Amino acid sequence: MNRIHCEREKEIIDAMRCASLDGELRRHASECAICIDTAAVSEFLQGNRTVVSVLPAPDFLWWKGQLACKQMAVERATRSITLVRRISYLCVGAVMGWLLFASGYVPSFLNGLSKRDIWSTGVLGESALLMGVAALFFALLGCLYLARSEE
Amino acid sequence: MSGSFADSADRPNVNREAFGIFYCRTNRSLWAYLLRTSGRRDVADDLLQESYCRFLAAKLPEMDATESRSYLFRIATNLLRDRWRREEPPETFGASDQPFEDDPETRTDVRRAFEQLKARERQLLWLAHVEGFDHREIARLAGLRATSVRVLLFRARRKLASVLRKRPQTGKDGDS
Repeated sequence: MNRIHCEREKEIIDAMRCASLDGELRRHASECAICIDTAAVSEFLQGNRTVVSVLPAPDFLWWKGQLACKQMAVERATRSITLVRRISYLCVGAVMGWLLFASGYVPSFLNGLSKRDIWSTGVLGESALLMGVAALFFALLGCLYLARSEE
Repeated sequence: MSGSFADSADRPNVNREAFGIFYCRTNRSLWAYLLRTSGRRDVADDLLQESYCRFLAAKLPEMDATESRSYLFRIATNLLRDRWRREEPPETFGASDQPFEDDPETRTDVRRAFEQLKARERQLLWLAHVEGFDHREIARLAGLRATSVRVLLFRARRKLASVLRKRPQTGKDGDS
């Protein structure tokens, strides 16, 4: 049977990380095919765990960490602003598109303007209504944003 | 293995002194892990700083020393994985990388054996044998299933052991 794991594997690793194998574990490690490799690899890696290096001072990293915190806080704070701004752009784009292509409002407006009878056709009243709806919509978005910031 | 720093000062990500203690206890082992796994000193330097910065910036619940260390290694492992996604993982150490340049005692030894392992294998072996993480923790760190870790570790260990058996014994090898 092909074994890939021994129950005492972790015990051997832990023992070798602390010091070395005691008599009973050593005997097991010399008999078990899995643990022979485990012990050999542990011994090798433990012998090579120390590395010489110049590492940054903790204060420097603390300072960098604080900067990262601030940056993340700014990103979090401006995320909703960016979101609302994007939604606003989309809405404005959609309204413009609708006005230009779907409603036929602009051609009739231009037509009325050319005949100078915009007052009589009530186009101005329609546009005021539309602007009012748009203003309400954006006010609602603003309220949602403020409510979210409060949270 | 790591002692509890929580007795003297807890929350290393909010307390400067606690962070100093935590850093002194973990920096060398984290750097060694990053260096041995990535095979590049510059990558190890970068990722060490990035790991601690992310650790500090994270909103962590109360953690003991072992959990904090585990969390730090998870950050570092994720950063390594991100880097491997962006650029090919070093399957073997490049000749110009010279990661053990300042470590002449182990240079020949580690190179000879480690150069023959894949980055993932080096990572798993280091986490299991040097850092002492169990299979479940390694799975969480490396984004694998515990059963996969067991199989991968077995293969990596067998590979390294066979390399170690083949290597010529030097005077320095025998002392560890």
